Amino acid sequence: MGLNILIVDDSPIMRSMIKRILNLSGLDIGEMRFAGNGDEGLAVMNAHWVDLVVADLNMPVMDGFEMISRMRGDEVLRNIPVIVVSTEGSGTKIGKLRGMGVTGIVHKPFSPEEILKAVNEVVYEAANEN
Amino acid sequence: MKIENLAHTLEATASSVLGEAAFAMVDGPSDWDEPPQLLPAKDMIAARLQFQGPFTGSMFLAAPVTLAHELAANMLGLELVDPEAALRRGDAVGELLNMICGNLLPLIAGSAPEFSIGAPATVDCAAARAMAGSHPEDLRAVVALLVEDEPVEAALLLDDFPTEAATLP
Repeated sequence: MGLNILIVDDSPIMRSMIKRILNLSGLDIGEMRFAGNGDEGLAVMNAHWVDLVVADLNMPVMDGFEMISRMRGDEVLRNIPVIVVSTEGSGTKIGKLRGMGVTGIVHKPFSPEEILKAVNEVVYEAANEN
Repeated sequence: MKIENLAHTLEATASSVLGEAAFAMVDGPSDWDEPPQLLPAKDMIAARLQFQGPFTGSMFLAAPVTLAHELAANMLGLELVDPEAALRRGDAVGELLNMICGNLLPLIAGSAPEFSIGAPATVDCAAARAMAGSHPEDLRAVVALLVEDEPVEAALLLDDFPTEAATLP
């Protein structure tokens, strides 16, 4: 079974870039879904099986912090691994993410290799925990 | 950081982001004999965003339409003739601005402070230029770059500049 991946970013070009990198990666990918903010992301997760979330932080309506916080408080969604892809440079916010259990943090601008490294690490961690 | 060093930091950050994210060749002031000739506003795509934190302000980035198309194609790994490149050229300028801002603010304020960066929006280039031109000189940094031999403009407009930030290197 391929990985079902949800990409949450308000930038259409960023969603397309990440989708393209993942499609060319050779990873076994099942469904790839998209959301423009955290609220839409949660709705997708509640409606479909998602194995991995790749999310931005700064988004309108509901930002990435709030989305991850709600995921961690939800019985069903709490264990879905999250990779954050963001321009965030504040050490305080990065620390907050790590405290929320986010281990995959990729800083924009990124190379395809950085995304794939984060995906492989996070998926490997999740497989070892289960 | 001294206010007079902002332009240099903005130029370096914009060059780095354009090179890394869009694989573009960038020439700054040290590479040219004369400043690049700016294009009419109607030939440009401009994006603007606002940020809040220890200090507040806005940024804008403007690129010629032809270059924005090329940047979008590069970011997406598409051929120039691909219709998606044309569709995404405004997004490309906005996302590059977002990356420049996200990378620039910690260089000015250090990595501890938290900033909230708003979503970039496409704006009228003439209006953005006028806004930058009328902003107090001691609170603005405006730079021109040659990107793939086309003129790109970037501006950082601060509403305030706290003493703590001014003491950073």
